[in-house]
Amino acid sequence: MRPPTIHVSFPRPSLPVEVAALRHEIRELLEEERRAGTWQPGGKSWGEYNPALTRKIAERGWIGLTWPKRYGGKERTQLERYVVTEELLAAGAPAGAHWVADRQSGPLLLRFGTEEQRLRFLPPITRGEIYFCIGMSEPDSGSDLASIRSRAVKVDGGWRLSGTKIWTSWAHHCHYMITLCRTEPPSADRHAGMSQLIVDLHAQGVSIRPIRNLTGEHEFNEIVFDETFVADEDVVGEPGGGWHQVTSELAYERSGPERFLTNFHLLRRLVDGLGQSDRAASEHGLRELGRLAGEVWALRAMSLSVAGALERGETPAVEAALVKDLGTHFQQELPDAGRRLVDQEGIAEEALRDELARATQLARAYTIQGGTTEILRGIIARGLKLR
Amino acid sequence: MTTQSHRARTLLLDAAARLFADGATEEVQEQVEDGTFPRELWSAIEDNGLPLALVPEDAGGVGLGVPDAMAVLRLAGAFALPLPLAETMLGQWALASAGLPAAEGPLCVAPGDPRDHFEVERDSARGWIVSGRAPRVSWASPGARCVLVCSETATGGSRIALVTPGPHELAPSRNPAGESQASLVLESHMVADGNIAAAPPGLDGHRLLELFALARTALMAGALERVLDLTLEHAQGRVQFGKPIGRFQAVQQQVAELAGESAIVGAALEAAAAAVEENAEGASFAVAAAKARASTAAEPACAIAHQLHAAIGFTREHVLHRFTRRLWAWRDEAGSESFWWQRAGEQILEGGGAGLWPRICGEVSEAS
Repeated sequence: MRPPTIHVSFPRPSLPVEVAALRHEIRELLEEERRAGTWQPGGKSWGEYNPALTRKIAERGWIGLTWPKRYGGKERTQLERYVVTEELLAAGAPAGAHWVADRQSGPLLLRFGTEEQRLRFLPPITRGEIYFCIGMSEPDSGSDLASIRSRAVKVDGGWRLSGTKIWTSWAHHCHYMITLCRTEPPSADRHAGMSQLIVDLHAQGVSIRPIRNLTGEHEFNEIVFDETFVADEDVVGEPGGGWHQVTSELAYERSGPERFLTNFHLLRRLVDGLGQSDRAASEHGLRELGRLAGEVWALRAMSLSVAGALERGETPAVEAALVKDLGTHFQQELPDAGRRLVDQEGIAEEALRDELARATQLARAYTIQGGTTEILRGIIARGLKLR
Repeated sequence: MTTQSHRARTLLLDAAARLFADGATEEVQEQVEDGTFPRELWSAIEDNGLPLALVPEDAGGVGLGVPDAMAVLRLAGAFALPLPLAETMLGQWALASAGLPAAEGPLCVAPGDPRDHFEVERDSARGWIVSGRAPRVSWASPGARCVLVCSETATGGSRIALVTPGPHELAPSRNPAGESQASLVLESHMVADGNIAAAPPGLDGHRLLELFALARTALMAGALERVLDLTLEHAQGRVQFGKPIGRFQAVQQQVAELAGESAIVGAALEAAAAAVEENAEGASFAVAAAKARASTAAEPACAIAHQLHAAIGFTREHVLHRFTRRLWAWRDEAGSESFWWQRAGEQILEGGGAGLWPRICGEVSEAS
């Protein structure tokens, strides 16, 4: 029998020793700011906008941590950045204001942007002053991103952008959107002729309409561009090269700890609820608790491994898709598993029941945003050479 | 990892792969299921030193770290190696830890199941006396040597004993993969002074069970990699409706799920092996979570692999069952997912909400 081909691999990176001190500093800041009333636990972590906390995080140098110093970064490793993000998430800190800029817009500009763009945008991102949102989905283009119809037409000194973007989190607070649009008419190669433009959301011809989600909250929006002018210097990379750029952005977007730690605070509440209950935990309850905590631990091993690969300069698209697929199913299941635990173990905490009920509704988004389950599994299948 | 140790690891794994590839043939597999121990293959593996992988070099062993030894076992799992390599590795390691000489292999070990328990006491007239039971000792058969970690009531410590159970002490049976096992019942079994010694601090029955669980996780990770590889090969090669079945989305979605199960078990194994090697505070939790996750993965992974292989995978001729039947056996050996999830849950509950995250990110639990 031949040796097996190893199709996906998750080697364990060693975390630099400095991370222990870094963790401590992050926890200290979050505790300080919690006492000061800047934030409260129990929210939606990276799905919650809190510029006051973002600025405190920025003051410590934790936004753009891996970026070159000349752009305001700290030139630390991807693994240290990983520790910052996981600590913020584990604490349930509302880090949504800077999340997209730190995770993907900044790295995109570092990779494909001009020197002028980097100098203009990256330092204020690291100071927690400007926020970016993602401009990919459109009303008729969800999973089939290449079918987008937003279009920019060349004019003197720039482009005129028209079209509609949708499901854009925090567009009503953000300063810029990196907008994927067509800059050439559709051709036989459906991935050709797309570009990414940095659009000032306060420019003329931009209208932002709230879309409330099923719980009634206003997080995402519809954005209509009506002949919005975008200057030539705000095109990211080469005009026409947008598809390649946008897909490379997704490796950063998919493998991070936000794909399994978004509602981690619920698990902590469940542990406390079980511990403080009048009734001793049943064997079933202990197993369920062990399973949920163990799954987080194993997902973290996968996700950390991808961070190690990113640090080595690799782009592990299949591994990243696997992290998102498994991770989002876990965090989608967590509120429902929690609900059963509360019920079966007689945890007498009414507020926790309410939170789990709300979290169950919010959890629908996890397996849709950033690549649906079906799309991810298609990417995995392609990586495994089935397509 | 340094380049040099990386190279040494690669050489070792290449040599092991060649041995396993040449030795674990279909013929040998069938022989083993018929109850014949493959002596020749075992000798080849002994000549290579693999059973002494975990024994320190100054005690005559290979001195591999836990992660490297687990990498060897992962490969053994990927070849469905029908031999007690994991058992002998751990048995020799336990003997060496207690300062006992290496025994002639192959060995079996206990406790290798949560139900196993052995007690030892010193009888002034007869010497060391061991009693206890283990309902399913992997690879135990008449004449086999067993390394036992026994509790010593008098001192509260543990002792490592090398015993050769008599026919009346063993009841042979087979695990679901057709590998030999036996129920072992010792009632006042005498152990000669040269075959027993005090275990070092930290090595007790539960510790052995944990290492055995880690070893089973490694075998399972390898078997899952093979099951994924076989399934991909089949999906790429099997043509129906004029195209490889892997072109159908319904098939692709299932393969992706299978890849996820294989991936998470592999990542969990690496993290747990590293935690054990570093003797980290969270190593017990890591091993519990890793074995439980591997056991949990067995059913969905095997279900997908068999569904996609369809009828051919349901035959004795096809190799798939060498791996799926082992996964179904191994998920229960060394503690099932119910056992290990519960152990993990107990540790989490003990640490409280404040200790949860430190436990998961591998720090010392603040609350314990």
